[in-house]
Amino acid sequence: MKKENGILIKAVTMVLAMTLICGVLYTAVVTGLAQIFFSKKANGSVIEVNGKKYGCELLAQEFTGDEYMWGRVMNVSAFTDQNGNTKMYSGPSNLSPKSQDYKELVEQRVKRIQAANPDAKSDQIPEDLVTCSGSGLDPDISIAAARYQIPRLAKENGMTENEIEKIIDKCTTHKILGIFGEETVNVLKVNLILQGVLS
Amino acid sequence: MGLTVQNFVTPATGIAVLYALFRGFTRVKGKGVGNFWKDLTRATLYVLIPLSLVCALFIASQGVPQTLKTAESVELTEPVAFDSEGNYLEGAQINGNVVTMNGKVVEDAEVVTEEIVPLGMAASQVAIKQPGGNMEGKEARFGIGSSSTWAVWTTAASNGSVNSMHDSYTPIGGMIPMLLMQLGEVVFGGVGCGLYGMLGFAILTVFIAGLMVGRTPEYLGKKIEPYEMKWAVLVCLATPIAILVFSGIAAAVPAVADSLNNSGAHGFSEMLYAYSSAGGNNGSAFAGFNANTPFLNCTIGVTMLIARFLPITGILAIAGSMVQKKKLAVTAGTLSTSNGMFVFLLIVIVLLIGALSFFPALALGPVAEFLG
Repeated sequence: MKKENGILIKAVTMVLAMTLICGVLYTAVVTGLAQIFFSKKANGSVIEVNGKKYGCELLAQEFTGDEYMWGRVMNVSAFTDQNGNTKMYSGPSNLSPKSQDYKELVEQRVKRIQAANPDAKSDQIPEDLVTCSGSGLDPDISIAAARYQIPRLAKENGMTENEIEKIIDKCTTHKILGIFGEETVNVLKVNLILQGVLS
Repeated sequence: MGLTVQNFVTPATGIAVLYALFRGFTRVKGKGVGNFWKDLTRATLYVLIPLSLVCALFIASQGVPQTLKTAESVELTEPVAFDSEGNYLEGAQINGNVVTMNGKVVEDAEVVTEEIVPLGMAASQVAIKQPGGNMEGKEARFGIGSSSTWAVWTTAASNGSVNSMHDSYTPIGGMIPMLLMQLGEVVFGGVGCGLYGMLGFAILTVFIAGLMVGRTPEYLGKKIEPYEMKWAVLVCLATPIAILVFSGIAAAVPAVADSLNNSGAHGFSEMLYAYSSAGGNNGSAFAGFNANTPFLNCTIGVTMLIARFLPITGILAIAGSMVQKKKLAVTAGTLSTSNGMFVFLLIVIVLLIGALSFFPALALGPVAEFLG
């Protein structure tokens, strides 16, 4: 009995010690260092111009107007915070690509995108424009998906296709070391440049 | 705070158990297999914390928030509209505070848009077949290559983080991560437990191979006897049994059907994945599955306990028995465990146990969906 008590005391001490080391000290050090060295990124990579917060560079916003570049399909829903303000968030669809629901959804999206882009240069809609992303908040689209929208963006914003192309280039992230990941275009940045907020 | 502690102590426990097993093999006629508290502290302080510190700062530099602030609110460049029930009004036009589409007006407007739609045959085929591959549930910056590579890494190594939604993978694509967890996560496995799980399989293999050729089973100079053998079987079978029994029970409970996001075979896959992930101590999910019901929380929790602590018990029992044994000299009668033949046998045993246990369940889930 005495021995068992000893183990119990050791176990409890260990839990307390580990909580102090890993739960308090470690998290404090990581938060501190991240705040010092990567302050903008550790606080959510928010795009702020003249005191107005336009959004997080890493989280998508829904764009459906013809003057905007469209991003990945979003699964938007409403959410009320503790102050009673309604806010938007989005999540993944988690649909199986073999399911009937999914087929119908994609067909609808195809129709909508074709209707919005009558002058598109390719018949093939890049697949990332008609699919929901993994997070539901994917901020990027592929270069093909960005280029697909050039004629519409040029017309609606009164710019030349060349100018739009340059904006897309400016917002493109390349593959890491030329190998890992994909080339992507940040939708929010493109739209903020189109609106004249960013340059 | 609580979760961070668990995330350190869990792998440290795995390392401690693994070291106990190592000492069981290396010590000759020893009295113990080491001090758990010492191993736990050393593993946490000298290995896990330094490693985590570097990795945490790296991912913070890549844009993962690490802050004491709560959520940020930002102004949407293009506002979105919702009706009174909180349903999103897709395509509604907004002028200031006035949503100019409601009731019948919405329907009329939609009809007009649809009339302009050019219905190209080619295009609708294109979209359904997805010639570039399946992008549903994947992020543009990862694409298909990095997404599926990570799906394999995360399930082969008891990691559980995801960069794409496994639920939206093609049927066979989703089966692979599931199978990797079901094999007991011995490809890399969790910290510590991947290797001791594999050593459990090695002991099993030595015994089976020894029986086949009529040699005394021994591993790393220590004789394997019925006592170790029984525990090794428990180590290897605890996870599959826990996963299968509880998936089976869940499949028979009508209320579970409400938790499914997809119907039919894919719905079964969602459930099987949930228990496989719990059994493999993984954490990834077919995330359409709503596991937050009392029944599922409890059964998944019990699956985790069984699949985690029964193997640990078995490994410690083997370690405790091994440490007392004397070291045997290598003779012509010893079955070598360092050649290609043994590696082949070991892989066959791992696959055999995995395939035999899970083939029927996988056939009902991903395979049925693929063929259907």
